[in-house]
Amino acid sequence: MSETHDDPARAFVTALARDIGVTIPESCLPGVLVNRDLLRQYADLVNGFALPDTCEPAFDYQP
Amino acid sequence: MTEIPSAMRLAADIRAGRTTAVIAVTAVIADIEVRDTRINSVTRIFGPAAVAAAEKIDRQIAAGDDPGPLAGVPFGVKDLFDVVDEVTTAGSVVLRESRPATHDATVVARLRAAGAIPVASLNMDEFAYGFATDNAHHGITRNPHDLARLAGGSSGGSAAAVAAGLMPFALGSDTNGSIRVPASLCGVWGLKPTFGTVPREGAYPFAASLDVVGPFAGTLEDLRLVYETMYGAAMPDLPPVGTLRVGRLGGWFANNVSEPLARAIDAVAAHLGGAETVQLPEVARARAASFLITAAEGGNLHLPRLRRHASQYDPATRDRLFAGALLPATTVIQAHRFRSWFRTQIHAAFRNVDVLIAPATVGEAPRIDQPTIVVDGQNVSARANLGLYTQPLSLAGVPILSAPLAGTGGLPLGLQLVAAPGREAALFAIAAELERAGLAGRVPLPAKGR
Repeated sequence: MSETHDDPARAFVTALARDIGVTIPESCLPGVLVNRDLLRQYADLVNGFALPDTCEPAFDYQP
Repeated sequence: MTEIPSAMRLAADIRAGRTTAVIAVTAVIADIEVRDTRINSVTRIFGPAAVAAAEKIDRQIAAGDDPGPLAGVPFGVKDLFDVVDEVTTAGSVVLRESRPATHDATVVARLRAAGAIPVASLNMDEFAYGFATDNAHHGITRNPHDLARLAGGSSGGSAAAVAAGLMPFALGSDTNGSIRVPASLCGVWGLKPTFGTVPREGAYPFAASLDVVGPFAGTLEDLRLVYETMYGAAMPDLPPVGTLRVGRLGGWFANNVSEPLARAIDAVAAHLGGAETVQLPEVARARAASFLITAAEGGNLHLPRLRRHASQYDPATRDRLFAGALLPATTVIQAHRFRSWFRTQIHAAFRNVDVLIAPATVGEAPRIDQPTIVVDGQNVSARANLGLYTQPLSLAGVPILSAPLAGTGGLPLGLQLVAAPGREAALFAIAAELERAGLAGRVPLPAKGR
């Protein structure tokens, strides 16, 4: 795991949660942080791919 | 108890008066009560309503009316489909105080109009978030082929109920592999139709950009009939197998595959004329995009309830949903833009082939007491990773038929048959050929499992 889930990490996630109007119970924070790390790995993969500016989001996806 | 016959045979017997819908429904309910105690695939039996529906079917037949091609056939629904007068819980206590459904889900209504009778709701991972059907509220569903092993998920109750012969078919949903994974591990047929073509109204959502509803069945004929009923129309004639170009997905889809599964896929590829290897680009990113879209949409969907009732969720589900809700918008938008790019790659691949074959999972069902699989030499969580080969293809929204491989000599193994959007008929044509050749078919239970 790339992050040790120290106080700054907890504080960051708590602040993010506050932005969307939710309070994450203290007991849930370790699990949320683990899952956030996992998602961040996937996010790095997707964000690391260069897409042309003309590639639009597939919000209304048609296969 | 002898396993229930196929839906088509049972309907034929009921329509011909050789048995009745009431006998069929009451026998299924009795069988569930006896045999499902070991498997735990069923969460609720719709006893009185199912018997009343069966009596109505029998009255129609007695009056000379035709109740439809699925006359009197009992079936189960993953516990996220609305069934009139029942509470849809999506496998969670969070929704148990919801009002009962006032209408059937559209696909349930279509099946009912064809004569079929919903008899039970079936276990699932809470809110469909998982590949294990290990439910904190309803318990774990065990694989009928080996009760010490996972059934897979999230539609594990549906796959296990069909595999156990408790019912001829069942309904599930597939966001990242939730039909294909359990169908594969339980040795039954499953279909994830083309995204957006089978109505989801009345099915509790998970990630709307990816959710698809579809059937499980013990026979390929039943799978087709149930799919066509859910879809609302018959497929075109199946194309001759000889006209179909078959490719085998390589790269990502060839890594980490167990030896027995690789051998079985070799045999399928050889039978289908060699099946040239096809490489899809950026499969790891496709899986990542699917993962991110699912997490973000699931997190968004549940955020209002998480604000009030977080403690009621399965902790594993809750923590994943919280993390998904916190994803930055730019990451989610990038995942959707990547999806557009990946769509172009998939369409390019299908210019040269009609059907692609790929493993459904890395191998047989993991043990419950050791719920891990090996990926790139590492033991990783089965609950999170059984969709290794299904998630990337979910992103494309293409139709995929999960075929149980026959004659592998061990626990069930499954194959994904993948076609271009709207080409389900090509999948059924190839599946029928594999069945005819003895390479695919429902995996029989060991004698002690019956």
